[in-house]
Amino acid sequence: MKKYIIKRLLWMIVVLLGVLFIVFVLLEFTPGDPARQILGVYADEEEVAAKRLELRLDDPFLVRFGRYVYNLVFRFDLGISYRTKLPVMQEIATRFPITIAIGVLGLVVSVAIGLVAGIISAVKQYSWLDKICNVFAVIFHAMPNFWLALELSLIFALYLKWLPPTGYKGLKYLILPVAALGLNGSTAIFRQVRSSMLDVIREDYIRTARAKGQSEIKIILKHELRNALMPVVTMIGNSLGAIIAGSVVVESIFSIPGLGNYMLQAINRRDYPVIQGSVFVLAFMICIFNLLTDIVYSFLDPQLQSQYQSNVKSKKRGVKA
Amino acid sequence: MSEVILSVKNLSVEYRVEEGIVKAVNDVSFDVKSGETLGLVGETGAGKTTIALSIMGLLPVPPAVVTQGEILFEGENILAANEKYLRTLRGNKISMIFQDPMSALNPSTYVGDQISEVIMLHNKVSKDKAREMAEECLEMVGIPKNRYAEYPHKFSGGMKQRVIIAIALACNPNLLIADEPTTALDVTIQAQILELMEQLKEKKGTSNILITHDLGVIAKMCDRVAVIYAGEIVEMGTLRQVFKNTAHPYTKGLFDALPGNSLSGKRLKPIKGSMPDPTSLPENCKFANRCFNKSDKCDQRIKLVDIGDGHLVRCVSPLCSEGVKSH
Ligand SMILES: Nc1ncnc2c1ncn2[C@@H]1O[C@H](COP(=O)(O)OP(=O)(O)OP(=O)(O)O)[C@@H](O)[C@H]1O
Ligand SMILES: [Mg+2]
Repeated sequence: MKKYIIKRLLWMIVVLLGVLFIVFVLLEFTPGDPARQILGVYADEEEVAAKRLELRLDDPFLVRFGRYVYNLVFRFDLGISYRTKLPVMQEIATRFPITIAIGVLGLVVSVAIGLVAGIISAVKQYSWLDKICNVFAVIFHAMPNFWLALELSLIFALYLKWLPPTGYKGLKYLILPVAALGLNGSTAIFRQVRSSMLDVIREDYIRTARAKGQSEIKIILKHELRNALMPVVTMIGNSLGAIIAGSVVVESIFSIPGLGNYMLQAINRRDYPVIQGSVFVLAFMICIFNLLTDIVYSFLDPQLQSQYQSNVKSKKRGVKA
Repeated sequence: MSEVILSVKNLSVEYRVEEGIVKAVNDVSFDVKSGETLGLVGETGAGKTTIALSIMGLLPVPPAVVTQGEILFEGENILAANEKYLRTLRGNKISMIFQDPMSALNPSTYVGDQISEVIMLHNKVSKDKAREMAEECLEMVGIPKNRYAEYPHKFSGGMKQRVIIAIALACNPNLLIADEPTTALDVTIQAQILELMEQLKEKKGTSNILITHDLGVIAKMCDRVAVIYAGEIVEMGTLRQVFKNTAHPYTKGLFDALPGNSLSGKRLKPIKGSMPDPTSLPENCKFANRCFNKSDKCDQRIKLVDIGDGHLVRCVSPLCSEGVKSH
């Protein structure tokens, strides 16, 4: 298991380098001179040239890329924002927690709703509860999250005035964005939970549990859920990217000063270091989340776990032989 | 005579499915006495598992519907009892070993914990004590107790079946229903498992209902036999009565189809035809269309009659009667 995690971490470095490289290449080919962008249209050629020299923009591509990676790895430095002249790392550090909070809360809400609705739907298959859950799942799944966010904002902020429409001055401001993300994300989880619960419910070992005299609630929790959860965990892992992408959209709709919003603004203003830095951090987040889901998965699935063990064992044996 | 611990009376069970009404069990009655092993034998689809599930109160509802009858265990009618009471019986006083050992264990729980689970459900013991008792159960079925904390996928089919037997016997049930406990296993393991069940029965005095379509297993294990055909008992009696004085043509057909009988050079004689469609069972003898001994008399509703010493046969012209046995 430890070996597996180390291997995955090494792979993560490769993936992140790849992501950075692609972003670099894309920005390299976007038209427009960052130096000109910083100084404005009224600056003369000399000033621009001086700026280019200062930013070392005239160095060859690979040299610049290498320098960026070097600074990131050894100095923990993502460069300086062209616009605010503040270190990108610092700017990201203030915004990062908000995005994480929205993403994690959104995930928690979608898992909670998806699990509860999925279990009820499966256990009471074909009942009116099941039907209602399914109808809502279709509706929320079909609504793109920006639209859902706008509708929620319309209802709860503008008409009912229960919640603030935009900005961020405390947890209350996160309710609508989290609800939008959570409802949208819950539909996929709901359907996965429902269908894998329905599979498990028909398994022979559930009948064995009944034959032991176990109560229905305990059967659901101890026997069905745990086995139904494996595909759900994989699916959650896969949908993390979508949730983080969704948080970018939702942040900009609710004007929340998070990483996603920051990145969108930077793209509009050609603030290259900020774009590179935010993409890097988002990619890093997704990688970490994926690793975590894999680890959770291996705890849920003993077969997988023993595979790691036997892999290690057979390798050890191979070394001895 | 020893006391009756289970009494099934006029049980009829249907499955109401889209294709129609499957009459799986039709007016079945039998008793199980304390300490005895009753064998239920019959071909696939005869309704054996349905009878067992009825006794456990575990029929899948829907589609299953009990249309008549009662099942008395310790004087209580299981079919009318509430779920809470049934849960105190299941796994405790009545246990069942299901047909397929490969899928009957929870893949994500330690095998040992699956035994402790049933122990803790029915005994007021601590977790540690339950574990200790579960380890004893494992040893009892011949699995070293250090394998307690292993997942089922590391166990072979025979070992899984042993674990299932351990679960079933963990609370010393008065009645054990074994539904084809060995069909999924190879012959040597099969013999071991049967041996084990025999020993445990002797040690604990459990009554057994053993379901199988293997007459060899019946001969080895059972005191009495009920032959089931299309949801009905067609012949029932002691092992000796049914095996030595076979009276129903279907039972005879089962014996003739045994591979063992062909060793002497004779060819296998499978019963011709197949069981009638359970969605539209005939009113008259259900075996008539396959019977070698058929006559006009068969075209009526046939009762189960005692042909002597409690040997019951559902046939108008039984192949033999108890009276003629010794001649
Ligand atoms: N859940 C169900 N829904 C519908 N029909 C069923 C169901 N379970 C069993 N049946 C039908 O009821 C009849 C009796 O089935 P049962 O499983 O009791 O037979 P069996 O004697 O145990 O057969 P086998 O030897 O194959 O285990 C069969 O015709 C079967 O198709
Ligand atoms: Mg069966």
